[in-house]
Amino acid sequence: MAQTESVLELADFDEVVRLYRPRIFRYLMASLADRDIAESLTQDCFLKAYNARHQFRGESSLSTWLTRIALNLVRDHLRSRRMRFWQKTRDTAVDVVDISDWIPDGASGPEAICLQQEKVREVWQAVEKLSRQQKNVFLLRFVEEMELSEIAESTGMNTSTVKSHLYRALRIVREHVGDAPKGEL
Amino acid sequence: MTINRKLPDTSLEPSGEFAESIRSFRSAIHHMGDHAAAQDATSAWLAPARKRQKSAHRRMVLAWAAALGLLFGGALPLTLHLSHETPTHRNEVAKDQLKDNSSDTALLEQVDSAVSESVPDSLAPLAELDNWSSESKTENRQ
Repeated sequence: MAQTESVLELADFDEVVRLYRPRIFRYLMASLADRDIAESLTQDCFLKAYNARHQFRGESSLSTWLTRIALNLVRDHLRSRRMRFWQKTRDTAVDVVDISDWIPDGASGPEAICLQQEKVREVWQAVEKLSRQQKNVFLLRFVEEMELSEIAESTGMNTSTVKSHLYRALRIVREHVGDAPKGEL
Repeated sequence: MTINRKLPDTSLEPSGEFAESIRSFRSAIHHMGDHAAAQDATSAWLAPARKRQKSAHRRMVLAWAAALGLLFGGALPLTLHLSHETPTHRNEVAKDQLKDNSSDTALLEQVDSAVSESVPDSLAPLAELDNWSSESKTENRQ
């Protein structure tokens, strides 16, 4: 039933783009920290999905399928970027994101906002230090709030491996953010 | 050797201030994503991606054409060089060698005839001296 629903969902591709574009863009943005490249790869992701829509059997959810395409695009982009070492580095990229600029307005005072910005920046910098696999798992778990089984399906890893990567990622990020270790992760 | 340890699921859930930091991080990323998605994805939205795909395909075709061109460009001179080693060519080389041999023989015959010619009058005294020298050696042996 769920399989059929997924296949039918894909039939209205405009709706698919409307529903899933923010999610795919978010993941790509968080992975690559470059808005321009994230936008390009988001377009590439949906173009690939559109071209391969007849091959989609509904064995996984549409979200998982699109996430898998996005993961592969990131992998290919990083691979080709290593080859094009003469091109501009990330440090000089025009669209490098300062994540702290995107904290939504809340009711907190300026001091609380500053503290929040500092924490967000620390998490962002810590995530940049993670390995490719750890980063994927961390972002899919804590930004996209995917279940471990869904992450395993998207990444092609088994659930134990996902847990292992997630555990290490959390440890690294926590060390970098510098929270007190007392009974907390 | 890999030791498989079962990780408790509680170790995978942050808590306290750390959890708050991660929640703020998530909010920032979502806010950024929502802002980008607010721009309408019209039918022209995928046009740049289609253009990139076509360019990539064109580049691949050109790369293969260049590679094949280099391959055949390198193979052609080699093929031409190998054509010099045909049987017809080898026969011609053998004939040339035969001609050289016959000219050498003619030269040797010429030398022999020159050597066996009689001594000219101007060199006669030397010839007599040579004859006297050989006769005295014969008498000493006796």
